[in-house]
Amino acid sequence: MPNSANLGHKKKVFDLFAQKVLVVVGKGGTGRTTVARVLAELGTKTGRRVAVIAGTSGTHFLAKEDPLLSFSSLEPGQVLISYLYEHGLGQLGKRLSSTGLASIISTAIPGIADLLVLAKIKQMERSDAADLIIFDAPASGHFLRLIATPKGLADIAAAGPLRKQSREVLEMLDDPTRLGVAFVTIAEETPVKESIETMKQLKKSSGIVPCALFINSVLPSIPGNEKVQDLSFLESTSPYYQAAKYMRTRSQSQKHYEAMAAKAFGLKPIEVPLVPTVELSEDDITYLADIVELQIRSKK
Amino acid sequence: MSLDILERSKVIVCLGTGGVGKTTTAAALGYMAAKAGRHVCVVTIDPAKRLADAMGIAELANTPKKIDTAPEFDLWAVMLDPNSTFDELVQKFATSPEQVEKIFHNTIYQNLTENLSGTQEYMAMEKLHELASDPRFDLLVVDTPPARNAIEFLNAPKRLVGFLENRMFRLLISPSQSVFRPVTVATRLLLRTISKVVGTQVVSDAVEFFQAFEGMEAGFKKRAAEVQDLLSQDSTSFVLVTGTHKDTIDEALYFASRLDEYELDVDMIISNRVTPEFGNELEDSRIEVPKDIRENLEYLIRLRSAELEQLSRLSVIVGKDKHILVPLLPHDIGSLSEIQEIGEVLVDSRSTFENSVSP
Repeated sequence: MPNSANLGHKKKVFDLFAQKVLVVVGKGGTGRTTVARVLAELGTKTGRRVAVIAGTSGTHFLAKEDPLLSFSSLEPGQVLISYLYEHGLGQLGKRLSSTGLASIISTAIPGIADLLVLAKIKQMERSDAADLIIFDAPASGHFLRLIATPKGLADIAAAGPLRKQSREVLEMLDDPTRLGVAFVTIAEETPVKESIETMKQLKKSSGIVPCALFINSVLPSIPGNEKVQDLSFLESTSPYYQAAKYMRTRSQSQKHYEAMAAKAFGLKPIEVPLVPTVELSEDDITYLADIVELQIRSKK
Repeated sequence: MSLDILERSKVIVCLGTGGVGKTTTAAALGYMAAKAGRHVCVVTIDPAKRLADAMGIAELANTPKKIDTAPEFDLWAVMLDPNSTFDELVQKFATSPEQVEKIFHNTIYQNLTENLSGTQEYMAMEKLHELASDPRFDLLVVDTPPARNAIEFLNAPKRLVGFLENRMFRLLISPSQSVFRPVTVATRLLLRTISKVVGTQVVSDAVEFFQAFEGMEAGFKKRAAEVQDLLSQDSTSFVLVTGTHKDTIDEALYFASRLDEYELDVDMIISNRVTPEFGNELEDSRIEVPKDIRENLEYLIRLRSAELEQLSRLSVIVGKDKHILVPLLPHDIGSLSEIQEIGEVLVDSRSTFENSVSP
């Protein structure tokens, strides 16, 4: 079991099913994809149809044979290219490099590709394709900047056929029953501080309040850790002593940064333990899902 | 000093995905080289705040600054501002002040650094090119911008030059072309379609952009070729920086698989944040060890062995004697003495993969 630091008691508990679209954000290397996968597991467990969408191509996703679970990717650059193709540039574009054209357009209108991704997600949300859509957002700052600036979003599509799309995307972003944003971080100084910074910008400029805070790679709590000083019967060079001391330092530091994040977010952090394995297996996902479920259910 | 790249290189390029400790590694390498008497400048982009403070470069400055917390060494650092680097480049290649003004005012140009991937990488290379001829330094350590994959750094010049040379727009704006060969029906139709799909503003911004850049592509192209040349010299070393997670290892392997295209080699790999080794006393039962204390050691041993198994996949890139494991420190790097701590680990021959796995 992960640490269960006492982090206040009146904080709102995350409800995975309070919105149809859950956008999972976090810097690269924080384990966004793992969290998305674990949440998908919790969704299918209740019989819901869950669609996980990766915002970057080539995302390694531990899929399993489950008719309730689907996985696809929407990489912004690719989405823009297909959009251009679908809108009359298909036949004409063959002679020109479509990627070249797409990069001119996305530089002229920053955010257009991300807007198109959100439009696709909105389309899915309005259809009956899935009961829960989990979007594993691109790690780039672009995407967050886009959802943080509704005005910028409206400007992107001030004219042309994108105007309707952008209005509808804005409506979805504005409605917490339709879309929620979950943060993933690891409990270390730089990632936590950067997450807090991003969260503040998001709140300030768009009014979007994050619905969940996941702390990934949490070390296990060893009950005897506090008694490490009493291990005088062991040599201080003993591996047991060294390991206990190391774990205590790391674990205390994690608790400190977890508390810092929890306070700034005003949310009860949901801990995802670090599994000491080369690669997560389906069993590991089930294990993590059980642990997350316990935390979501508690103190409701 | 067991790291020969610190002795023989004129340029060390640190490559890797975001969040693996690339900046720290670059700073630590720079520190150790300066300690050995070299004249070093560390070129970095967007370091974490504490690290920037540790190096005394909290402010964006395009000129190198001596790190005054290490006055006894000739160690400098520069935090690259891609925007002003690009501006300087435009000023260098433009044929008139009017051309400079026109470019600076163009929307696409203003958006370029942040929105066209590869632009920041190109600017890092540009800075490298500039500093390579600076007589104050005999070693440059470059921390590349955070990217999804390190290969983007090497792709950057091609991407930017390709962007500037976009054929369609050149066809449209080239005056000689439009006099002697009218814009084709297909191109006109294409422009109309683009306007319809994403607005007329895009088309006029783009035309204006390519008009303003007219005649400068050659300068950029030549520059890109010079940088390419600098990178392929024997005195340039490539250090691949990774973490321990599967995805950073996957990215590193992908990077290595594409390096052949550039006729370059990885000289060494530095893997950060490895769980330390505590030794194995699991079978020693002379002392009754409480269950939780025993489980704790077992957990950390399992964690380390899983990490090492991931990391061993990298041995297809360099030998285990050129692969350095840096243990996870219990704290973030926030001072020069902590950069030194990492540096000492890097030059310690016991830190290689080869020597850190118990037989």
